[in-house]
Amino acid sequence: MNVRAHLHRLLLPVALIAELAYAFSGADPILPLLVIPVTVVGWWMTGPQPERAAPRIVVNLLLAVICLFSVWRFLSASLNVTVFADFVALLLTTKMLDRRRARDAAQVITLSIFLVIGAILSSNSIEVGLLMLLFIFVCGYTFMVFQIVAASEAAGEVSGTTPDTVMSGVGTRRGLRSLVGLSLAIGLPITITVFIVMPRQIGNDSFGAWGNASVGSVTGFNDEIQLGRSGLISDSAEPVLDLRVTDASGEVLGSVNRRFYLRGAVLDSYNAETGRWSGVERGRRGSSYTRGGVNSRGDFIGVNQWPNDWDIEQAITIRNAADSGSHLFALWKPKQIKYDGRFVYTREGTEMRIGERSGRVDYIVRSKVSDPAASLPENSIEITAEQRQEIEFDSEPLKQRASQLIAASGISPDPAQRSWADDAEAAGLLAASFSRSGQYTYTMEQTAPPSRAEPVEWFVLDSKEGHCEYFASGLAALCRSIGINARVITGFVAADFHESSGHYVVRASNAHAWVEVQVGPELWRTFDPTPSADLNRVHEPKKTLIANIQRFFESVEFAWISTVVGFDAGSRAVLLGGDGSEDDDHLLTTVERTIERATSRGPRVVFSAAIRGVIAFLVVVVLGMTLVGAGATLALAGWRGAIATILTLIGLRPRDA
Amino acid sequence: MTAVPAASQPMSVDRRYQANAGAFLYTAITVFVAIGAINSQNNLLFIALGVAVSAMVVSGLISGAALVAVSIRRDPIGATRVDEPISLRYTIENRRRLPAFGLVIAERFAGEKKPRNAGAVAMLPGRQALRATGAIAIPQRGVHRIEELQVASGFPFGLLKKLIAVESAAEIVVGPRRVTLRPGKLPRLRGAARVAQSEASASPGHEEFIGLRDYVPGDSARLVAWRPTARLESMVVRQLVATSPPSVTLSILPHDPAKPWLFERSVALAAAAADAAVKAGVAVGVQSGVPSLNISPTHDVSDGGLLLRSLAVMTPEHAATLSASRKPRAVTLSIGPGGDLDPARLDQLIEFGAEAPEFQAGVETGARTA
Repeated sequence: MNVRAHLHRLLLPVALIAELAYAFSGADPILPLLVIPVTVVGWWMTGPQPERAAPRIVVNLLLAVICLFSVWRFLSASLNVTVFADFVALLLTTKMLDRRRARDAAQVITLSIFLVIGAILSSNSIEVGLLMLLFIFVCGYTFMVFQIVAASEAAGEVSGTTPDTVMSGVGTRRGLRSLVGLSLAIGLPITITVFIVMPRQIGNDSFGAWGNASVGSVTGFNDEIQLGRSGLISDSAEPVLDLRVTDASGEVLGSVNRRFYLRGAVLDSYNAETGRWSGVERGRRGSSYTRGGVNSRGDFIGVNQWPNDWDIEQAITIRNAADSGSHLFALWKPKQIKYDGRFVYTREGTEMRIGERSGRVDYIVRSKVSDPAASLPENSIEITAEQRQEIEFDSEPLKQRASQLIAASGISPDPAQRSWADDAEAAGLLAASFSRSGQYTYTMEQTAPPSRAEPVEWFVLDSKEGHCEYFASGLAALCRSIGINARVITGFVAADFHESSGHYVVRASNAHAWVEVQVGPELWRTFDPTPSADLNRVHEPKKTLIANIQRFFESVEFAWISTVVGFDAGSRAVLLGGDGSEDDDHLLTTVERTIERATSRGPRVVFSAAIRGVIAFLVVVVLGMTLVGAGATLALAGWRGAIATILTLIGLRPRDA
Repeated sequence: MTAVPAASQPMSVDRRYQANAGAFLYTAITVFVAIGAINSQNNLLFIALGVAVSAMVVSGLISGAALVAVSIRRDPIGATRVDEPISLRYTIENRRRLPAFGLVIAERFAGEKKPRNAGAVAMLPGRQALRATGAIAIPQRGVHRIEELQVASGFPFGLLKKLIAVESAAEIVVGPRRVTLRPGKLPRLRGAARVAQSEASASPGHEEFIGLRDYVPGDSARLVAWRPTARLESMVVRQLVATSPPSVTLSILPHDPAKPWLFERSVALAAAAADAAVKAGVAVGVQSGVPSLNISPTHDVSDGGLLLRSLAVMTPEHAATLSASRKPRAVTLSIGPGGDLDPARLDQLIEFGAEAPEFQAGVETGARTA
């Protein structure tokens, strides 16, 4: 084996794997398209003949331009992982044009490592994860070959010649294989030990909100509805969210025929002039996120009255929350939430949002979903005039339309004449009017209403064509026009159930809008006015071969997200023989609780992280060295030698025997 | 002249780890990854951290285990000239099953902290021995003493360098820089031939006593001056000049101590003159003020010979002593300022080739002694 040529061959996969990880991590697609071909060309150019490397002046000029460009980006867009990764990718590409000696190879390997770190800081998707694992193997092997070439160059530098015995490398490949095997045998247990032992649920962005990587596409969720615009609704099948639903006993709920409505934004404020529904933050009712929480112990926090009265649990992974303040989607009505970080929520838990974190977000919500209508009070509780004014939708044509629809069932359009049960029934009649009559058509390509036309009136009374936002707006407007409190909800419909993994994949195209109607004091019921046939057509999973392959891949991806990416303190406790509960009592939990108590009065998070880190590191070193010592003794001395060593250590065999 | 390996000395082996700049960079990256992992709870970063920690352990363990049963021996060393690589031969053996990779062989000279790399071995298979060749080029004339022979390996990841150091003393004689005189620059060689011819006709076989000098290995026993030896308690030999064969004596004139490079040029010219003389069939001797450096006319101008050893260790002080003590007899070739070969006119005397820029520019330092 020619060791130098072997190193040259290895450098291409090292650089390419790093660049592919970078490309899959959500980088601007232009840069990967630039750097990957240039890397291949550079590798080919700087092959066995170093004189084919690009002239030094060209390389130095390129490096200067890259540095200036990156500094400009740092200053204009602030220092973030994306800018860092772009910078490293460009440096790596340039270095591929400038490989002359072993030192240049070392720089290529180092830059590749930095690029992979940049990629995993941006994304924890399965593609990036698998590429990282592949990179670790290839890079480790390349480093071994590099050490041999570097040794030969170190010897050749002084004498001016490279001794013949250096590069012949007879039998080197076979020897390296055995060393790689030994390294894996030693390194793998240490890696797994570190992964398991390192403390979780601490840190909480103590050093800033960076490194919280995504595992997929940005949700692209918009918490406002703007009516009156033409355009096409996105039908992207890109997964944005994973949902696993269980009942109180832990039984997995869900089937291909069952849908769940994951609420996001609550839009209860409508501006007729602009045709915009907006949420509580900007709404006229003045509600705000007055309650907040930070959960560093992994406990459930109550967000509603009677928090222990729940019947369904949702484990949710938002693959890539676009920016801070993203909604925490959940089924109505949320009672408890377990989220490792800061979050805020409104009274009654109508909305929950995360604070200062983007990327992948994992949380569990416990909700009470059983229908409140079963226990509706018979007697109406008066809604005050002020409240009435707040909910009223000022449109006489819509009021007439709503009155006609409910009058046929003997329900009075006068709020004073109705009970809560009447309101619920009226809302049901109004919702059904959109699908039962057959007059309304669902379309994903929306045409704009005529100028000066009020968009909701135009949809309900004239065009009768629209997408879910129009249907939801229409029902909410009809309800409000006759004094029934209603609000528009935007979120996702979970309809794509993967039986193999027992979870729902929620895609960008599953974004949906529906309505919640008040059917009692603090009681709200969900109504979806979108015709169910159209709703099924839009959200039903495709059955094509490609779609099935994609679903298989998504099941694997979910396993990756839930086991590797989503590994947390609870998973660790279960792995170590506990049940993941608060009362779980094993060594690591005990140590962490002790530290937590000791540091609870100071700058807790940082100290806690530091102390736990040091303890974990020491544990790893001791365990690692013990394992390594045993492995090495075995590898070097064989079984007999290992037994002899052990006997010597425990004093049953003289040292000089 | 031959380098003298100190084979009789006991060999002690020292084993140690050395961290390098790469190790500190690696540690910094590992700390960065650890902070990132704890800060963000990014599990891929935790995996990366685990790999980083395991790489540290694997690196230290494998490099240490690989060298634990490695031994090395050096063959006797020859002599060389300034900046000319001297070939070194080693026998390196691995008594364990685990192969060793990326071995760098280095020699540490007396008075130096950093060893000089001499050779490398891609792989040393388990339970085998192999012969390795190396080379060292020394940029300074003189006798260089090696104190320690080292074998190091940063394999597998270069984070920690494991090193075994063997106490293995040896000397390398580094003669003057090799230069070639232009043709016709030594008219005195013809004079030497004439003198020899006339003396031979007058008293054939006659050898003239010119003084005493220290005994050096290789001197004939009949040359030993027993009485002075007994008096001085150090063996000395009579120094004779054969008058019959043509011979020339090289004499390096005093030099300005502020210009050591001129002396280096003179020594190089003396060696070149010796080469040219021997090629012309004229024996060459060296005359200096230090008895041990005086060499009888000889045809042996090899790198390991006594003449070049004398030139290797000669310093400006030796030349000055010569000038003050006596005038040389017979045919003498004076080398130095104003002499037959004037180093100030180097460009007229030799053809510059691949000599070091320091030599051409005249900034070379003086000789070194062990």
